[in-house]
Amino acid sequence: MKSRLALKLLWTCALVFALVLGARSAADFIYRGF
Amino acid sequence: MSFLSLEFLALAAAAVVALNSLAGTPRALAFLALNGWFVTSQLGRAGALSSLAFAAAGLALVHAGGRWPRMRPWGVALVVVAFVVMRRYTFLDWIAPAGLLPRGLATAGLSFLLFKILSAAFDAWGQDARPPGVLEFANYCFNFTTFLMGPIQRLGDFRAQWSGALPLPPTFEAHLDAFNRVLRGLVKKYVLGAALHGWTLYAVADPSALAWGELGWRTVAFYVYLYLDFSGYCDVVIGVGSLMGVRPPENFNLPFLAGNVADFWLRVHRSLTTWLTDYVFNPLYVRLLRSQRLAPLGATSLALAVTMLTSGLWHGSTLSFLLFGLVHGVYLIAFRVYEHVLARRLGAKRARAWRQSAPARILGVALTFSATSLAYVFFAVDSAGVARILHRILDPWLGLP
Repeated sequence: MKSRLALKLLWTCALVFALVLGARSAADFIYRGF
Repeated sequence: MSFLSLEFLALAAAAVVALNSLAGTPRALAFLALNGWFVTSQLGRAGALSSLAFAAAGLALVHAGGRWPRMRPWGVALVVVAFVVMRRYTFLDWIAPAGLLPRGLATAGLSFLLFKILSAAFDAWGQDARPPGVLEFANYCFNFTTFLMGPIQRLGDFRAQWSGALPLPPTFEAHLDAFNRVLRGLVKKYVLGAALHGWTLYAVADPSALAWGELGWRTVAFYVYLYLDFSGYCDVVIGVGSLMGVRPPENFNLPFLAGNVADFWLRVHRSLTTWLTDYVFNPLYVRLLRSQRLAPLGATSLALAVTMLTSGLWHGSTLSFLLFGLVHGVYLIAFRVYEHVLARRLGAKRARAWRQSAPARILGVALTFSATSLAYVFFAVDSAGVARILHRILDPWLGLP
């Protein structure tokens, strides 16, 4: 149970990381959005 | 309003807080205010007002049709004609003088609004459901999680969740899952989809002039891009809706793994497919069978053709979208005929065994992927471009001028 939750939180971090880096490099969406 | 904007973040957060902390009329009014904010930011004031007038006509249809059943076909026809005029279908320019047609009306979200209104009307009349009140109907129509691009939620589903059937268990994990769904959607739409955009048909000025090889790979990239963009969008709104307490229906399920074109339509834009099945295909099929003029395969084929042409016209207002529907109608009819012939030749048991075999499955997935990718060309190429591509295909065979 705890390890599943920890994995999901890790997944959250990975998605945020991908979004911040990926959106910036791919199409500058973060700058345009914020 | 981009999903990656502070404005949307504030709107979604406000909706989650308001819907989880308020009750009764204040909750409905708060949600209406937030929906109004979203719709006005997307369509402008004039656009929001024209959509509001359209929804009001829809509410009048639901109530008037309930009271006077004989007026139902006329009411539905009126709403559909209003939709066609507002949406500015290109064929209108051939039959009506340009000065007569209104300009500047809202078209974004209008197709979804039409199908929401019609399903609310059909369900209220057919299932004897309680007709919606003004506030409930306005929130159903302008719900910011489903307004622009679906998924097409039915009034019964919206009503059940609004009045208490919460889509999430009250655990931290369930809320984390919903939050991750939002993040996953943003990554699909703004990272993966955005990175692929330059490789798709959208990135070239005239796709019909491309060499065959480039047209092929750009078409496949375009299909993947459309999936990432639209399913990413759906992930975001389903995640936000789950946190709010009114979750839109699921819309995608790995379409690239579809084993045939009928399976494809259950994996892509599923809420549209089920809508068309319930309100176009099924009633028409039953009527055709009862008329006893057609055998079951003929009735299926005709009902499929009408359903997919409706789907094509619903997707867009130009000839290209009609062709998209026509091509998918041909695919579906060909698949039904293939199944019919297979069952007659091999018998039901051996046909089933063949369908479940590995070669049939692999062949089915590859054929479905190729055929459905190809049909998406109509989303990126206008009708003149389609004519040019057809000319290039047929020229070596027929020696066209």
